Parts: sequence; C-alpha cells; structure tokens
Amino acid sequence: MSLLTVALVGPPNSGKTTLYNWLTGSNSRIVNYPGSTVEIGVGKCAAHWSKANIQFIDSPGTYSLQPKAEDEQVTSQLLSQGRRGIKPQIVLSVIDGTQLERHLPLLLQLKKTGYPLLVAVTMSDLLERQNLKFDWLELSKILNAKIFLINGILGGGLKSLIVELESSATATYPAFVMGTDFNPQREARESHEIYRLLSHKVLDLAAKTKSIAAKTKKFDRFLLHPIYGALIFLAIMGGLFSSIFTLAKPMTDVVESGFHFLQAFKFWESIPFGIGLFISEGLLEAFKSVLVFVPQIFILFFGIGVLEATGYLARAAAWVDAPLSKLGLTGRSFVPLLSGFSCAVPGIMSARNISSKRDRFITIFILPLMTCSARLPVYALLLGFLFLDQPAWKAGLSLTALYLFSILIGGIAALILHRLLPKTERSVLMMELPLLRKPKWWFVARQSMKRTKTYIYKAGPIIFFISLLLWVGLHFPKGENLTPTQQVEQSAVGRFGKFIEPAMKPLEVDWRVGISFLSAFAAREVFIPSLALVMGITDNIEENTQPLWQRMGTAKNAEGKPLFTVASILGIIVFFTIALQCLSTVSVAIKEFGHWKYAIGQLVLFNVVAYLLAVVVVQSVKLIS
Amino acid sequence: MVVDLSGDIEIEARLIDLGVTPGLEFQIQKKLPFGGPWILSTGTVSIALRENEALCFEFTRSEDHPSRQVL
Repeated sequence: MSLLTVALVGPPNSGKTTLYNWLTGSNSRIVNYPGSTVEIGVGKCAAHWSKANIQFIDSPGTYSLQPKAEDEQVTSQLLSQGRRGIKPQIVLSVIDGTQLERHLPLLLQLKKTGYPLLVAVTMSDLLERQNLKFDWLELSKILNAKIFLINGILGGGLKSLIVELESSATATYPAFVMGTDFNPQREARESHEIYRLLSHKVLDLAAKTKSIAAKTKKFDRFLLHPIYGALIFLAIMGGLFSSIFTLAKPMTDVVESGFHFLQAFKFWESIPFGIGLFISEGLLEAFKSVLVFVPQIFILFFGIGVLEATGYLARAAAWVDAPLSKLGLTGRSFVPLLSGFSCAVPGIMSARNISSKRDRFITIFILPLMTCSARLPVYALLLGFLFLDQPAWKAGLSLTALYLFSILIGGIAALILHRLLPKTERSVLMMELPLLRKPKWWFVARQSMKRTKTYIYKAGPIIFFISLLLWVGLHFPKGENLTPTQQVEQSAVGRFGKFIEPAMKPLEVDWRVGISFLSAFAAREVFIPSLALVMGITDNIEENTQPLWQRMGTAKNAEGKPLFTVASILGIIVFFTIALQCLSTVSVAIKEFGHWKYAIGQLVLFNVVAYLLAVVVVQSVKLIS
Repeated sequence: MVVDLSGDIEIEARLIDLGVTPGLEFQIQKKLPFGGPWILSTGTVSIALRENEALCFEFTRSEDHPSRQVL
C-alpha cells in the first residue's frame, strides 16, 4: 500500500504535539526541544492503532499561514512546497475546542489551500465537563471536512480518526500548489461571521467557555500580582535551581558508588597490554565523571518541563519582559534563555519564535553565556575542591552565585549589543498566556528522560573518543625505566602540553590543566575526565582510588608548590563561565544566525574575553592574598 | 471592546492572529509593574501585550456604550 502522509497543523498550545505523540507512539523520531516545536517531526503511525502505511508530520504551532516568526514559516513552507523532502497529502487541523473562535481563521485558511482537510478538536472533554454544546455538524458542513472530537484521555475520537485515515490511505491526491491571496483581515472577518452564524443556533461558546478560564484567572490574580507574583516567580526559579543540587545528591551518590564498585574489580588487572588498565582507569573514570551529573541534568529538564506543561512559563516570560526589554531583549527571550541553562543548542533553536530579528540576534548571541549543564560538572568539581570538608550549603550558595554571575555577564553583553546594533526593527512581545493546567507528571517525566538520554548519547561518543586519544597519547611513545611522571612528560600529550604551557602561566596552572582545557573544546564536561586521567597518572598510582578533588589537593607544580590555589581555581571558573567551548553550539549558531561570520565572531570573542578576564582575576586574587 | 485596529501594519496583523479583532470584548486584567506588559483577557484567553502594542488599537469601555451589542 502506498504511503499516506498526514500533516498536523494547528495554533500553538492546541495539543498538537500531544496528539502526535499519541498517534505515533514510540515510533516517532521527534526533534522536540524544551519550549515548543520549532521544526517538523515525522513519525509512523503506531502499530497498535493501525497497520496501514500512514506517517504523521508534527509542525510548529501557527495562527496563520501568513507567517511572521521564523518557526511559523516552517508550516506554510511544509504545505506549499514541502519541507525536508516531505510533502503532506492530507492536513489534519488540530484546534482547541475551548478557543474555537480564535482558531477558526486558521481552519478557514487551511480550507482554502485545497488540501483534503480533517479537523481534530482537542480539549473536548473540558467542554463536555462544563456541559457546553456546539453545533459541530454545522461547522463540518461549512468546512466540508470531518470533525473528530478528541478526549483528553485516550477516547473514541482517536479510533474513528484512524478509521477515517485508513479509508483515505487507498485514495491518491493530486499535487497541490498554495495560492498567495491570503488576507488576514478578511479571513478574520469571515471567521467572525461563521462563528456568529453558528453560535446563533447553539449556546454561545465564547461566553460559556469563560467559566473554564475562571480558574486560570483566579490563579493569575496571584501569579501576576505585583508583589505576590514577583515573589512566586523568584520562589519558583530559586526552587528550580536549588533542587538541582539538593534533590540530585542521593542519586549522584548511587552513580558514584556504582562506578567505584566496577572499577575495584581485580579482573581488570588480568587483561593484558594495559587494556584492562585503560578500561578501569581511563574509560570507566571518564564515564563516571560525566554520568555523575546526569541526575542534575534530568532534574533541570524535568523542572522546565513541568513549568512548560502548567502554562507558567509564558507568565514568567511576561514578568521578565520589562527588565529584558531594557537590555534589547524581550519576554520571548525568556524560554530560550532558560533552556540555555540546560543546553545552548535547543535554546538557540527555540529562539526561532522570537519574531523580531534584532531581538533574536541578541538572544542567540548571549545564549552560550548561560550556565549550561555541561558546565555543571566542572563547577561542581571545582567548588567541591574549594569547599572541601566544609558544609554543603557553601558550595550550593557559590553555585547559585555562579548562575547569577552568568546572568549578569549575559545582561552586560546584551546591553552592549543593544547599544551597538542599529535599531532597525521594533521589538515585540504580544504573547498568549495559555490556560493553567495540572501537568501530566508521567508525560513530563518520560519527556525529560528522553531529553536526558539524548544528552548522554551525544556526549558519550565524544567522551569515549577523547579519553581513548588522551590515554594513548599519554602512554606513547614509551620510554625505558621511567617513573610514571617522567613517562607522561615525554609522551606525545605531555610534549604538546609543555608547548602550550606559556599560555597557561598567567593563569597559574601548568600544562596538565592546559591539556584538559583543550580537550574541553570537544565538550566542556570532558575537562573532568581528562584532568582525572592526566592527574591520575602523574600522581602516585596508589592514590588513584581517591576522589579527584583530593588528588587535586596534593597536586604540585614544577616548583613543588600546590597547583590548585584559590586564585587558579577562580581563574578556571571564570574562564568556563564565558568561554564558548562547545562546537555543537557553534554549528547550530551558524545555521540560526544565517551567516557563519557571526558564529565565528561569537566563538573568538567569547574565548578571548574569557581568557583575558580569567588572567585578570587570577593575578588580582594572587596580589591580594 | 475593540473598535478599530490602527498603527503599525505588522503589529496589526499579529493582533488579528492573536484574535484581537474589531468587536472583541476584553478586560484589562493586569498591568505588570515597572512598565511591564498589560494582560488582556478575552473569553478563555489571556494575552500579554506591551503598552505600545496595546495602544495599536482603539478600544472603548463597555459601560460607555451600554446599548451596543457585544459578541
């Protein structure tokens, strides 16, 4: 049977992606980042629904086929010429039953495209619960399209939708070219008329649905209150970031002891040619130092996911619009910037729904300054070292300070850009605040799990490759009768480290840290396994069972003085706060800036500033103490 | 109630997409502090608009026009 391609098109927050996930089940290869759908996703119809050859396309939410923001263009392009080589044959329009009036214009536009149209009305359970009736049959006649009411809990609506699609799967549709005669004003008027025509016959939906919104409004009275609202905002954000450390602690301990258990096997020593040693000291050590931070990353993803699902994120964005607009940003920058705290890559991509080009440019430019989760392991290690044997809250507080510091730096950078860039375009906010809902915990948990997995899969191969490279580079070429330290110093990596050591001198660290700095350009978190590897070999092997921060405490430089002082640690921290060491960020930035020169400029600028600032910090701390 | 849209064409088109069209009845629910956005609510929907965006359409208070039929 030939393949039937169905595009899901609907306004933002209409429940499109949820429906898509239901329809495709686990077969979806969805690229969905926190915030919203910004690119199409393609997935085969789940086998438990139908054996027919049907595939679904999830598209970014749009109110109109006449796009304004970048992510809205994706949808109109999908319908007119296809996107990524995929062109739909049927449009399944997804609209929110409680917001029919506002979603009607898009329905009418879709009708005009000439595509065979099916309509899925979500939130119909909400309408039912409020005993709201609407003449769907009449609307179906006007649109000449079948309408399916979809229940919030998997109901009959989906099944009959699938049955309809199965019968369509046998038909073939002609290729279609979209007209360009859209007039939003006229369409809005028309939809008003249709709506009035229908609501004349039945209950006034708009008036009635207000009762559904009443609860949201009650909450909004607090959430948007000048004093309570601000306190709630601070409490939620503070809670999110502090939970990253407090909640993750027990899970982190489990991961750590698990790896210690694995590494302690005598079995490794029995594998010849140093391969066993490589596995236990090199590979397991490398993976441990990264996997230890997975709980924290999961909690951050989960927290953002919950805020997104409840509808609070949009309120938070409204709150920060005024301060952000003074920096040349907008409330719409909030979600991308917040995502930037987990990873700059999805953050930069979700900046697509900022409609003003100028706002978007500034947002993308400063985004890599946000403390992403890859920096977290580095900070955790360095702060753990600074506050060794001291109460945990001190490290926690300093970490919070580091987050605030990154926001401050980001703000300064935004302000500078705001001053420098010509004011060509008006900045806009204009944003919908969705209804407040109870999050579907299970759904959010699964989604965060998926995102965390993606993170691990992406980081895993790099970590493996770099540790292999480093390990080999440290052990070869082999010398005769050398102490471990001498061996490393004459190895390929050691020689290269010595070569770049002059650049490390102003930072008061030696070549070993230099090597780790360089490997951090593969991915920031690789800093730790490479430091662990280099230090583990140059130090006494028997100390190898100690945690890395204790080994750091005993490390000496060439003059026999402690290598890691308060000054040098602060220097490394400052460097990591600003430096752009993530090549995936650069590649996404090239795409989203639309020109490589901005991304390369960003790369060079951030690293030069990071280095200079780190030197200033190290030298002034040294001077004071 | 919204009477007419005026001003910037781009903002106007966006307002229409958000459902702000002539005839729409709404309340100004909140104005966030420090010159923050206005929160307008219409039916089930709340919209955050900056002051300059909100001033892109003319509106009347419904109590000023008690005779006027409102959607």
